[in-house]
Amino acid sequence: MSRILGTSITKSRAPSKPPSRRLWDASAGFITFASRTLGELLRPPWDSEEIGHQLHEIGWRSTPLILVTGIVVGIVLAELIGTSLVNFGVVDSVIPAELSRMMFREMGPLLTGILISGRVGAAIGAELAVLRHTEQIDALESLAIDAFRYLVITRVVACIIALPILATVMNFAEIAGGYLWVAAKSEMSFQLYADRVFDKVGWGNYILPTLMTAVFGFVVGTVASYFGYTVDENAAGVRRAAMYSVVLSCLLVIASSFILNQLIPFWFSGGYR
Amino acid sequence: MSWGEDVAVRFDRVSKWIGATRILEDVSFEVPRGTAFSILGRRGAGKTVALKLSIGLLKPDEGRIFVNNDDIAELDHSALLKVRKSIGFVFQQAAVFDSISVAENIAFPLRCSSKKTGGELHERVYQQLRKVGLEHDIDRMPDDLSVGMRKLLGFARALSCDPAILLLDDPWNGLDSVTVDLIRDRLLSLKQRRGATLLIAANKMTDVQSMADQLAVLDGGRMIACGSPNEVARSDHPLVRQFVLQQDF
Repeated sequence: MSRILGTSITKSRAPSKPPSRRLWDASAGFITFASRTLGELLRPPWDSEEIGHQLHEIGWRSTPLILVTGIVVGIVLAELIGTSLVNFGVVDSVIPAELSRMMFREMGPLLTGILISGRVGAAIGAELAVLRHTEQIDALESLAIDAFRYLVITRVVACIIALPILATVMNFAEIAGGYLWVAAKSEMSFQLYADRVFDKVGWGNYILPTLMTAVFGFVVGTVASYFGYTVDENAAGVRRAAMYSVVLSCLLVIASSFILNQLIPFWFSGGYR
Repeated sequence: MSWGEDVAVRFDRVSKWIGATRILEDVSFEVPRGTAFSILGRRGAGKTVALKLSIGLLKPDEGRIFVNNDDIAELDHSALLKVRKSIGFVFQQAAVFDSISVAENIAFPLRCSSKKTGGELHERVYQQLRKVGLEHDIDRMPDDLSVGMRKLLGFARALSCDPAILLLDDPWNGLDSVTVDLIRDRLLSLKQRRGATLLIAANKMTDVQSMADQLAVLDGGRMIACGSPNEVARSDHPLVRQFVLQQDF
């Protein structure tokens, strides 16, 4: 009786395989899934109507979160730069340039990737897991509709398109947040602030890191779709799909950001540093 | 057993495992085109798995499954989708799309398969829903429907693309007797007028006795009886006798 009373209604099944074997199976499964996604991404036609719908869900509905976070981070970073350099007496000239370099080069794209991993990764993971659990994915397939292309490819494409746009929004929101701090602390005009923001930032500093977020989009869309699409459990499975989607996509976004930041200077030496 | 050309679905020594559990063991049967074939069995006997194997949602571990003479386990995904265009599936739990309206549930597969649009699509959706008595619920969401109504919606969706083969997983579950008669009439009409092939999983003999041309009885994944209703009724297997005596499982 005590065993029954102590059992949670959302308890996961006891794993039947050892952890190392489960990790191996999951890794092999994910690599197969990601390879299939990559292959299908390159094969038209794409469902433009569903991609548009997903762009609305993934991109447009994430915009408030990106804007607010960008402004707050911009204010915080401007204050950090300002208080660190106040003794040198060069605050006015340094803050906009340093802020823009940090934002465009690293912080904007990375923060966008992490935020979208949380918001969109969890949503895609949970949504696809519920569709699988309620046999709606089987229903799509039974109606001769390619569920993988309809559900997975459209979401991955939407993530790939949305992330660079959201990263751009994030960059400018952070710059605006920085201006709010500078305007509150000094007499610097907006025109002067804007000139200094773009003074040391070339197109290379903007375009390459922003395009890098398309890779983050592929990572977030693929990881979340994998955990949702392949779930085979119950309510606990839905929970785990959402959780693993966020955790793994965050980790892979950070790892791919680091790797790409090391590689980009080698590929495009001109105008990046 | 010889396999005829005019066979819609054929199981040839099919076995299926899910995890460590054997769901089907060495199951063979054939469903002639234009007939109704019912798979009877207790809960967990493997009926749903047999239906999902028939449409390629699952793959057999052993044996082969032919639908319209295509070995569906050997087909690539795009070829499998083409085969599925001739098949409709009514799921046990309906599996209706719960984020779109009743009308959209019917319109969505029609739009995908026939590219119908505008007034023609609207008319077709209305006609399909009218046939199952859901024409007044056209703008409601599936979550607002009862279990039985969701089942009817799943039925209407499966019929929307005029399938030549219809797979029905426990189709009477959750329906009142009047609606059961309505659906039974629709199925008989499909079979007799349009020559559709029906493969019905059920757990009561009374549900299918009047319409099935052939029956197979599954127990623990093994087929313990197969033949016409009269032939099955003469079986001396204890479980089959219980089915014949109209006991519910």
